[in-house]
Amino acid sequence: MPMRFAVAIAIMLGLATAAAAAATVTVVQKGLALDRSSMSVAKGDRITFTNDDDVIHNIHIFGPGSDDNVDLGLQKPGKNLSYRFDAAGSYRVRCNIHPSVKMSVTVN
Amino acid sequence: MPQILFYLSRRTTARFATARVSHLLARAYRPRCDGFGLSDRLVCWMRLLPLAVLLAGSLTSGAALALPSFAIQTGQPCAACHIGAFGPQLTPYGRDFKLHAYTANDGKDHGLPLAFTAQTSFTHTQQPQSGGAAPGFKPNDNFAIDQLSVYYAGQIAPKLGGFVELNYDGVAQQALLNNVDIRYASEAEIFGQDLLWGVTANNNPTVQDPWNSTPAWGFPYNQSALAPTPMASTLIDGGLGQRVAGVGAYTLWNDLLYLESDVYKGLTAPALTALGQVPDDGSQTNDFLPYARVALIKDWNKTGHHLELGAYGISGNVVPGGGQTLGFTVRKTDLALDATYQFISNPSLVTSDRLSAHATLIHETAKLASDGLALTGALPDHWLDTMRVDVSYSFAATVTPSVQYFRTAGTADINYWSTPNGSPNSDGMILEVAYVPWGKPDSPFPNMNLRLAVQYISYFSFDGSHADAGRNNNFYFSLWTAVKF
Repeated sequence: MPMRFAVAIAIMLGLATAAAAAATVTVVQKGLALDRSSMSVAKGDRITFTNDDDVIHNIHIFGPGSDDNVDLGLQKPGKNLSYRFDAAGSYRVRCNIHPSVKMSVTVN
Repeated sequence: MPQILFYLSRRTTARFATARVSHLLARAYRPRCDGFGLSDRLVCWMRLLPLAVLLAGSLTSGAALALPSFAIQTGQPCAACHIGAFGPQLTPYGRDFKLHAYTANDGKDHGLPLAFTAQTSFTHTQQPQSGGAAPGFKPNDNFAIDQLSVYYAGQIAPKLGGFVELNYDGVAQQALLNNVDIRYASEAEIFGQDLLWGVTANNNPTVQDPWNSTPAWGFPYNQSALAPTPMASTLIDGGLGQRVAGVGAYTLWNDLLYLESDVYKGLTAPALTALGQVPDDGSQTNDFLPYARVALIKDWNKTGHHLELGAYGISGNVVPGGGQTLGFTVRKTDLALDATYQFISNPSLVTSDRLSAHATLIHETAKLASDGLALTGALPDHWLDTMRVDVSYSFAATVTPSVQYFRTAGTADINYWSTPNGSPNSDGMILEVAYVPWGKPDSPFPNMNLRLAVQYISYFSFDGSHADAGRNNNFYFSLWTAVKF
């Protein structure tokens, strides 16, 4: 019984540690541009994209495979969208509507 | 044509208005097309083809409000792409959209990207023009439907888009194929930096250019067709518009260096006629004309400053229109410099105030064919320089005052230029205020926009004369409406 209890505690601690390690980074979308051109995150981290413009955006994430992509859909002014990067590799982020809204993301 | 304006201005149904317009236009055209030979009649009715397309667009306008163009395709208000919330002056995003082949979109299916515009106006010149400002118009104070246009403007396929404009010119009473720019664009990387590349097929050198400092989309964006204009202009300054067909390739590397190269081929007289042009009214050529363009750009997005410095040029053998050289060929080479500066006071608001300035200097050399020297009596070599500088400030994308200084000067030759003293020199200023109520994020009619403008052109010299220049000064009041189907 003490052995089972110790394992359960260890698993819970492990989960809690993993949850604490997963970070959320905010990328500001303003002036039809992102506030950075590249960034690195750890696997499991989440990026939140703001829309601080007065027009709609449409974040589209490409990668890590050549055919992998996720369209986050239309994003109205003032709304946030987020995406969790679960696989390691290189990603490209861009707005379907505004070609100047783009950045690269490296997931380690 | 004023009858058509009357009928269009009434709040009748689109179908009724279209039927009336069709009836009036058919009546206007019938005498011109009857009585010719079969081939002439075919050519004559072919001129009506673009108009028929235009009318077909009008006919479906009731349901057509569901059909899109650029704004509907992207879900963006006009002000996102255009300084002053109305075309054609582009913002940095508007340039990006054009360079990416008009394909950026919101992912929804909006059907065919069709749009319709109408330009109506009133022109007052300082001195009446004897014989009328144009056939069918009074010597002064004329109302006109300048243009009725239908556009295919938007994505054709992934990475492929187009801008195709069909006009009915209400002053010349002529249907014609106007500007065309169909392009494909893609992206890559070179030297670790982004590379945008594309190909374009177009019919007007500089119509494919994304900066408003080159001639095709330069200020003024509309101008009276019923006021006198200086006679001399360089080849690239509209001299080849819709009279050539060309293909080219362009690249933008690292959002810094823009390179483009095109080659144009002159259209034959029957082709020009079929497309609504009058062959002898402008330059004709059977030559291939190479065109090149280079520009350095720098966008300071966070502070809202945008700068472009560039050069462009074209060269080829042409026969000037209007019998200027009695049909003899002239070798023309145009080399030009241009610059664009824009300041966007708050880049996160498409309705923020925007300062915009453009400048261009075109230097043309013209060498007359040796066999034409004796018959024309003209000098063998001429030069012609055109310079323009304009500044505008758009308040809240609603009220946009603009001012431009323009100057053309060149070799005086009484046997080459048909001006009273043989001088091609003209200069003057344009003052304009435009008002655009809609085209912003909170506008009540996302499918519609209009531009009301008053423009005054003051000439300091005109066709070589200072003394009589002022008689050509004119006021131009215009109403430009746009409906995105």
